[in-house]
Order: sequence, then C-alpha cells, then structure tokens
Amino acid sequence: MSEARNRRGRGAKQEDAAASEAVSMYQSREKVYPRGIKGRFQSLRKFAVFALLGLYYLLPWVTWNGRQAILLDLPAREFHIFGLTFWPQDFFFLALLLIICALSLFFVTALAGRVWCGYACPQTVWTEVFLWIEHWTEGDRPRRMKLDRGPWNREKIVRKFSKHGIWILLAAWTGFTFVGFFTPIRELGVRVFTLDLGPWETFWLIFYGFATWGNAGFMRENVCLYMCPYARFQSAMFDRDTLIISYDEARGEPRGPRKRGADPAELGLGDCIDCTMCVQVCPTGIDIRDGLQYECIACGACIDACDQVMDKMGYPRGLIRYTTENTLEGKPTRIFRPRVIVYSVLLLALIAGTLTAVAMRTPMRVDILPDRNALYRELDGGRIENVYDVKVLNMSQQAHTYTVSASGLPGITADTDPDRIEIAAGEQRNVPVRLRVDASVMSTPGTDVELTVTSEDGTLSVTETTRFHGPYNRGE
Amino acid sequence: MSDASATQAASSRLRWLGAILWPSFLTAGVATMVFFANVDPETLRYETLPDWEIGRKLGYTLGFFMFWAVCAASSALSVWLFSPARRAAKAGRKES
Ligand code: SF4
Ligand code: SF4
Repeated sequence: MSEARNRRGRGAKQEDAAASEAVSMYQSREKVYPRGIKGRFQSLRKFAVFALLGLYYLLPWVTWNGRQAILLDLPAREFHIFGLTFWPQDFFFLALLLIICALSLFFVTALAGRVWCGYACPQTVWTEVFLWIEHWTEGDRPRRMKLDRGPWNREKIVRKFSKHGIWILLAAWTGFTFVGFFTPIRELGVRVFTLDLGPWETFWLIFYGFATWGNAGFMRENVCLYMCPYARFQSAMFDRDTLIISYDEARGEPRGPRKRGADPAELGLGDCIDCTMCVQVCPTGIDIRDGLQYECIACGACIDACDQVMDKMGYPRGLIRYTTENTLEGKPTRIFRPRVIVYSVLLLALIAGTLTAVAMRTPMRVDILPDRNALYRELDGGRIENVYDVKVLNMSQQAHTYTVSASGLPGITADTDPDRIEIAAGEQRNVPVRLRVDASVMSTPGTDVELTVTSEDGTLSVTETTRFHGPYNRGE
Repeated sequence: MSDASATQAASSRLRWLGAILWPSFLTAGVATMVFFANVDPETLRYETLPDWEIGRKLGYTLGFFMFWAVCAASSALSVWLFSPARRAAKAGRKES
C-alpha cells in the first residue's frame, strides 16, 4: 500500500507525468465496456440513483402553497424554495449554502473518500442509468464488444438505434426537467406540445439534454479523468485514516490461476486468482490491484465482483474492500482526528449560523432610488420637496399593508400615493415618495434623512438612509 | 504515418480547445452568478444604454458569454505561456 501513498505524495511529479500521459491517453484510451455486476454496493448505488434522480425528475412537479415548490424565476429575479422566497439580495445565503456544500464535501471525503463520486455525482448517476439502457439494448459486456467489432447488419442497426432512441428520449426529458426548475413546468409541458417554446427555453432544453447525452453516453469516465476539478483535488483531503477501496496486496499476492479446491499455500499463491473480474467491472477501466489511483471513483463494483469470486472459491470475502491505509498496515484507524474535528466544527457552526440568519431575516426589503430628473423642487411657501422611487419587497408569506414615514430633519413629512401600500405575499411594488421640509431648517445643501417603511400590524419595519437635497447657498 | 500524425495533431488541437474552453466555462458560470446576483441587468441597461431593448434573459446571456470570452482569453494565454516550457521539459526528459 506504500505504492498508493507514494502516488499521492509525489504531487507535482505525478501531475507532470499525468500531463504527458494524458497526451498519449487521449488517442490510445480504449473504450471501456464495464461488465454488469450485482452485489451489496451495486444495490446501494442503485438505491442512490433512484433516490437522486427521483428527486430531480419529480421535484419540479411538486406544488407548495399553490405555487411550484422549487421555482428559480430568473426573469423575475425571485427564487421560491418551498415556503421561502429569496431575492438576488439574499445572495449571501446562496454563498453560505455553497460554502456549506463545499465543506460537507471535504468532510465526507476526509472520512470516507470519494463516496460523492461513487454514489451521488450527477456524472456517475446518469452514466449508470445510460449503462443500464445500454445493457438492456445491446447486451452484456462480451456482446457489446462483439457488436461494436461486427459489421453493420440488421441486428446492429436495430440495437444501436434503440439504444440511442431511448438515450435521446431520456436526455430530452432531463433537459425539459432542468428548464422546469426555472419556468413553471406545467405550462412548459403544454408549450412543448404546442411547439410554443421561447428561444431561451428551447436553447437550454437542447443544451442540457445534449450535455446529458454526451456526458453519460459517451464521455463517461473521461469527464472524471480530464474535466472534473474535484477529481484533481480530492486527494488533498485524504489521509491515512480515510476510507479507500483497496486490494489487500499482502493477502492476494502472488496472484495466479488455480483449480477450484486447490490449496493456494501448496502452490505458493495468494488469494487473487487473477480472473480480472475486478478490471472488467470497473467503469473507469483501471486495475485496482495496481494500488489507489486517481481514476478510481470508489464505486465499489470491484468489491462486489471480487466478493463473488471469493465466495465461489470458498475464500473469505474482502480481498478488495473498504479499508484505510493504517488498517492495511496493521495500525489502528482513528475516526476523530484533527482534520475531521475541524471540518465538523466549522460545518456545524456554519449550518447553525445560516439557519438562524434565515429564520431571523426581516421578510421585507426597501430600496430607495432618488428621482433622476430633478434633485429638488421648491414649492410655494418656502418648502422644498425631494422625490424618491422606493421599491418595497414583501418577502413574507402573507399580504401586508405598509406606510412610509421620514425623520432626520425637523418637520419633515412623507407622502405616498396611495397612503397605504398594499403588497401581496412575495411581491414587490415601486412607490413614489415625496419628502417635504421647510427650507429654513436646512443648514447645508444636502442632509441624510431616514425613511422608515412599517407594516400596519407593526411587526415589520425597515429603515434606510438617503440623501435630501436643497438649494445651494440657503441658510449658510 | 502521416495519417497518424494528422490525427494526433487534430486531437492535440482538440485538447487545447478543451483546456481553454472548459475551465473558462466553469469560472464564467460562477462569475455570472455572482455578478447578476448583485446587478440587475435591467438596471444596468437603464444606466448605460437606455435606448436599447435588452430584456433580462438576453442580459443574462450576454453577460455569460462576455465572461466566458474574457475567461477563455485568460485560459488561452495560460495555455500559450505554459506550452513552450512543457515542450522544453519534454525534450529535456527525452535526452536524459
Ligand atoms: S471525478 Fe468528478 S465527475 Fe467524476 S464522479 Fe467524481 S466528482 Fe463526478
Ligand atoms: S477500481 Fe473499483 S471502485 Fe474504483 S472505479 Fe474501478 S471498480 Fe470502481
């Protein structure tokens, strides 16, 4: 296992070698034909696929309080997530959420290696489904290989056509669902059938569908090898106590074929019968017996394959298994180590902070834009008026009526039209506000004043500062 | 032989294109998100080009492609600056 350690330790050198290797690999990399396999980890993966894709395909259809539960309405710049509505001004929360996601990924990686890759990454999940379709239409690994080598006869045409037909249908549905997160999906569905899609909807539907088809149907492991940033930096989170999928070299070597029932000790062999099943099932086409490699997405297929072989041979399972480097070397494995503790403390603090912040968010917002045309107006009777365009956002779940008041100068008054501003839940409204004050109270041409918007029930109130302008040399 | 080197050249060009377009696509995506979270394309248009008819959707799209172009330019420059060094390193390795 020191081999694996070295591979990671060598950092820069490895990068360099990988770079030059990539040059040749691009042409010589052979198509991988993963063999289908059943087993504990494959069942787990299947479960993950159904859970995640189920969520993806069904969520846009869920309604919540009469509105699509998840609707990221970009043109309106409103984001509905179940009961909550977010505006671009809440970008802070999105940033927090992204940081939490990133930290969780680090945390999980430090503990259990690339479980994200093996079970949850969209790339793996969709590839898995596309592989099922491939398996279903073209047969298992040997038949697929034969089919690809063979001539274009009737059977090949039928099989390839059905494969691509189903792939394209699924990809199109995927693209449709994607757009459905941004446009009300029911209306979208109607418009697809009446061929009444807008240009952007068409573009994104095709784009996302095409990306799914290309990535899950053709690129597959190459996305992980050449395009994914996570694949490149995940090893930085690893340590000797991280769960990895590994071949037990001490137990398996020297490898070699043998008859069933033969005593390996007598033949001078280890437990590996060199059947290459673990290589054939690997979706990235590597040999796990060469040590931990960055191509390995930790899908566990080789564990399931090897366990089956071990069962057949009557050997104990686990020649390939989830383990840690320390365990392989006979040392104790620690779960709570500084790295893990730091990640978890940070994570908990961030999650708690974000939840509190969301819960305590004042569900309204006020933006003040001074009138662009005139700084101020002098009225009869020595009064000065400034006009503002005030945008009030009602981010709560109920309709509210708001009133506007001003302070900051003696005798300042605020008038709106109408006096009471009614705004429905999750809506916004632009209100012209006139501030008036007697010219005599202005000692300087510009003064900061405060505008307060209050809901009539008194529960919500936001105060913003703006500038009030008057004539230049008055009152100096 | 010439056939092989032709495909090699084609694939290496493809790889270059990938190395330029892919990372810039990712960074442009992030930049677009951060930018438009803080700036409403409608306001931006009003402030700069009040006479143009640019809706929000078009605004987002234009913004994204602008970011992508800028990021791609930077990626291209990196690839270009990086490549002679790599070629030299490769030549050096072959000699030894
Ligand atoms: S390497 Fe990247 S693309 Fe591949 S499964 Fe892991 S996260 Fe996904
Ligand atoms: S080596 Fe095993 S765990 Fe890793 S990708 Fe291949 S089959 Fe999956």
